[in-house]
Amino acid sequence: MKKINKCISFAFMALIFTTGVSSCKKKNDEPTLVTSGKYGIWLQVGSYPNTNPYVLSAQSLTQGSVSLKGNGSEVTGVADYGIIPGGEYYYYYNEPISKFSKFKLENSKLIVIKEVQLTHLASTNTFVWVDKNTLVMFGLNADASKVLYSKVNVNTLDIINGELALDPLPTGTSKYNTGSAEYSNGKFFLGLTYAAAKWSDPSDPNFHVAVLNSDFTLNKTLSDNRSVGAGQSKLWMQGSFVDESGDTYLLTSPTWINGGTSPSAIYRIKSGETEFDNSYFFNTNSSSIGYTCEAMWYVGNGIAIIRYVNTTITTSTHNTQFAAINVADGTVRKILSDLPNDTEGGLESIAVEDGKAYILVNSETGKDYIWEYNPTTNDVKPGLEISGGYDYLLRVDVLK
Amino acid sequence: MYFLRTLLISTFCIASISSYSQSNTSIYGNVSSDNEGPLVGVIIELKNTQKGAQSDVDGNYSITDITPGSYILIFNSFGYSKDSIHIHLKQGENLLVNKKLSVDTTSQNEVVITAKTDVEELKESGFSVNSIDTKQYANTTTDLNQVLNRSAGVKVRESGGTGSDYNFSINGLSGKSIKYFVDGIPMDVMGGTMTLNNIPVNLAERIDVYKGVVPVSLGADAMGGAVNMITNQKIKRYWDASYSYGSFNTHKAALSGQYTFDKTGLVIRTNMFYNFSKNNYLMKGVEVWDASNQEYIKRDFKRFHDNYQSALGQLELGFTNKKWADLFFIIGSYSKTNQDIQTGVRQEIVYGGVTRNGYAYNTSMRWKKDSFLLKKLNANAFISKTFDTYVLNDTSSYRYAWDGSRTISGHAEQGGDKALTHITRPKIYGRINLSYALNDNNSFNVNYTFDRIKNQNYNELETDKDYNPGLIVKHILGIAYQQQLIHKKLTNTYFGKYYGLGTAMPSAINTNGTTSDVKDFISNYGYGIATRFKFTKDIGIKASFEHAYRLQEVGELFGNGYTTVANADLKPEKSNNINAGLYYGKKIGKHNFFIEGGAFYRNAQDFIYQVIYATYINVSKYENTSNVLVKGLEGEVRYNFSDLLNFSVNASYQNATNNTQYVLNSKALDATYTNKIPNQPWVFGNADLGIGKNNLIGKDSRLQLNWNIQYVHWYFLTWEAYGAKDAKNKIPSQMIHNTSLSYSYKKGKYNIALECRNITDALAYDNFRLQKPGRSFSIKLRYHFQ
Repeated sequence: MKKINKCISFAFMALIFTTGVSSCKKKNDEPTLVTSGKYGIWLQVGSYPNTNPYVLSAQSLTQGSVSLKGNGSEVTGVADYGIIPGGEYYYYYNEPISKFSKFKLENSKLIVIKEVQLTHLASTNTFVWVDKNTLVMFGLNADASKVLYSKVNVNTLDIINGELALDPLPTGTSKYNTGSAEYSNGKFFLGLTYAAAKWSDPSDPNFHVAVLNSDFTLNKTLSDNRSVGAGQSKLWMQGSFVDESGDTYLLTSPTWINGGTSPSAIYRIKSGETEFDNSYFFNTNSSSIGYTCEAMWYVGNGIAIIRYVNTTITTSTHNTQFAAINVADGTVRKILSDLPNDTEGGLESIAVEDGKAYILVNSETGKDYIWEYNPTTNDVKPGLEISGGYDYLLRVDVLK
Repeated sequence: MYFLRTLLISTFCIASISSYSQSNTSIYGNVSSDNEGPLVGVIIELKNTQKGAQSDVDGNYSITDITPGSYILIFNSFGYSKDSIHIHLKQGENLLVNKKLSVDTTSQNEVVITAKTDVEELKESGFSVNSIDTKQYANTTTDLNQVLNRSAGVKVRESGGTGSDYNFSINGLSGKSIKYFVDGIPMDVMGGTMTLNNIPVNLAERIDVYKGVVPVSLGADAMGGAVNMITNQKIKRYWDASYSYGSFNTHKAALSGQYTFDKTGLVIRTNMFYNFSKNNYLMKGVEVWDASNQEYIKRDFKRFHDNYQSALGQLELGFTNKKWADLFFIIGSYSKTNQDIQTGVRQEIVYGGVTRNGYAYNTSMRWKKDSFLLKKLNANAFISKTFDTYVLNDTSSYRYAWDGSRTISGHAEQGGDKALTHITRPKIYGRINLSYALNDNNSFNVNYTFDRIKNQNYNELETDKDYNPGLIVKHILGIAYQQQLIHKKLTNTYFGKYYGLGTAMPSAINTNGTTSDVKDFISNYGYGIATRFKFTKDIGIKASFEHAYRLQEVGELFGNGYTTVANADLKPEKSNNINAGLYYGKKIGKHNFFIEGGAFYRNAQDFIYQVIYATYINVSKYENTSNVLVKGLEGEVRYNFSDLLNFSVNASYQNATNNTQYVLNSKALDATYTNKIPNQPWVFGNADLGIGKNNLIGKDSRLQLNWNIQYVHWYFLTWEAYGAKDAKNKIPSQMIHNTSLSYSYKKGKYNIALECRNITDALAYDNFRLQKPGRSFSIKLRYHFQ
């Protein structure tokens, strides 16, 4: 039967080609150039609805070029940009099929190391590493009326699930949103919003942080009304960190909440404390940045880079810019105006290694590079080229 | 709107003030068979006019009010050879034409290919059209989708077995840009149950698929093309009843019939069908979680939550051949669907509790009158009211796996909150069609449709009704002029279409979260031409063009007032469609040969898709995201030798490329500009072979064996150029064989057929990793009486 099928296939193809297809130009096959290395770069290619996610490996972030032509893996249905890097591996919760996977990126391919069933979290958007072996994912139940957690031993993928006993939702709100998540000195700091059923209805006008003990019991809830939101969804991009001294910094990102009129701000919780540092409040909108910020990455030595949308640019979606800040005193170190404007919608677009930041920028018309920011010189310079002019360049990770 | 009203009023005024003259010129006579005496129910047609009659119980007929001139009079009756005679009528003449018809053995059998059937005449029109005579499938268990999927340029991609969701594509354009009709009336007038994947083939006489260029008589924003199912409109008495049983516990029953009371002219007509299937076919090598060994393993499992049933009952009461109407019917129908949903977009996403259940009822009226007000003005009108509703039930708190096991997940299976979503779409639809023949060579057609739909969606678990329903009203006016030149060798049809779209929503939500009461009216204009030149009676070329639209839907323009924000700048989808082709048919003795081939071009712009803006709060907006360029070729060859052997093969090639130069809302070049669109079949073909013999097992019997092969060449799931070749996902090449053996006796009155689909039990996919049924068997019993 197989032979017959082959003959018939051939007949169909012959019919097609005799009707003129054979006159079409034959394209030369692109040479296959599979890249390897410890860096993972995630891209999305195509126009709606044919937008597909890809991942590829890179050996260096400072030189050379990578391309998706004949290289990289399509990851549709396997993983997406909401992925957790940890050491050499990636961890991914595939919620629609209740699967938690541990992958290794090898030669631009996601190799499955281990997979287990996980049905506990209806959704998740943030995580924190307690130590290099223990990952905690925070998430919600179906109607977002409860905040849940899953604590994963990343070596065995043994998982302990639980529910947080948080303060009840205030009247007029019906959903929790989670955001920033950090762990310092035996305490979890989890950003929270109390939201109305509809995103367009007013949410609780405060920034809340649930302070949790290491056994996930609620220690207290911090609230401040100078900004709103739960902070950034860490699964997609970072908006918080713990510095070398154990101080925790949390950026709010109020876009979409209560009309987006509230400024974004950085809060600090000093090492060993369980209260906001009242002496510290960095309002980015009233600083020389002048705009609401959406993400923040710690470079080290008291320096962080924040990303913001320049809302005066209305004619293009390439409206996203970067600035270096001194986190300890809440001052702007430098607006990184040498970088081309990035497109909005970028995700985990900064990786940090050896005290330098590597910034993935999707330029509108020029070439696309990963730019190196050197905090010593305060300069940026182009490094690895992402050749091909893809939209969108979404995340870069160091896997080691 | 002003343009529309003026045009309509003008049309009616012209009709009214023109003098209404009567001619006494007529034809009358008697039709009988060679050996069975008078024939009842013979259709007598005056070719190229709207005039015709039907013979009564004594075989008598008459056609009156005929314009003097030369005509061809055609006599047509099932079971008898079609015959014609050339006549010349003088002013005031009352011409007697008696006719004897001889029994046609081929028409009793499965496959009917005569020299110039309606199907072939349509294929020789300027439009690019597949016209499929469905009589040949009457003894099979196939549905209309499966029939159409075998024709050139058409690809139907199903997500599962009987009744599953599907995507219908014509020459590379699909989804909302394809519209479906029954006798020129949109199929959804009968409610959501009436879809191509459940209508039994017995209810259709013929199906026409218009590719890219659609005649004005099908009034819709059919940017990519239209499917028009033609039912048995011949006014006569008949019954057609069938029942089939097959694999996966599949039952299909259909009944259609008509009875005419000769004295009163009263006609009763009915159409009914019922389909049921458990769809519990085997899923091969699917992944499940082995809790005891704490690992994922691959096994074969039967589908366990895929029951499907649909039913429709329709009753028509009316009159024919009255002074005030050639045809007048009042129609009522009720339909119902109950469906379990087994998977999401990929087979890894398994559902065990999600269901979709709906019903619809409809009342409508159809009226037709030739020589309406003016001698050469023919009119028909249709008006209907439909209540159509379904409930999507996603209230399970479990996560299911292919082995049927489930674990509590606390959230809905399709993600997020539990939902009991009611979707109700009450619809009022009207259509007026006027055709006027200025003379033998020049004619006009005006078609106006009115379509009003209210969109009401709400989750019963959260609220008691939709407090923010969207309203959409479409006015579509088409005007066509057809001319015949050079002794009718050249036929040109010029047409223009007006699309008026009114939309309203009480509380649309804007990007900044504010809401407003919105109303809008948008006008668009389309146009086109279809032309055909016949070199001889056997060979001709044709070409057609249309600048076509797919109008915005109310939800696309104004969102849902909740998570989807409004986009007042949204444009309709539009496309410039071009077809060119040629055909050649030849009959030599008992050999009948037909070949046609064509090229097509679609330049479609401003495709509308939902773009998610803020994942964590699930805010989205519809945008004009992309353009697609499709170029393709298709061809078909058919041959039959008498009623013994028939063979046909067709093949289609389509190269759809991304024609979106810039990234959405950006000046950045789109890297995939000019790349081949992924996840779309681009080479496919079908072959059919039929062998049959009359009187082999008994007198007036026929034994028929059919074999069908469907081939789809492999294609990439994602962009061809990107990603390492060895890691790219493909939808593999597929070759599906189907066969049927049928036995008919008493001239097709009693029929029995055995059928096997997917004989080789090949893995069949239309979508990536979404398995379709393997090998299946069925038996069908059919009774046909007239």
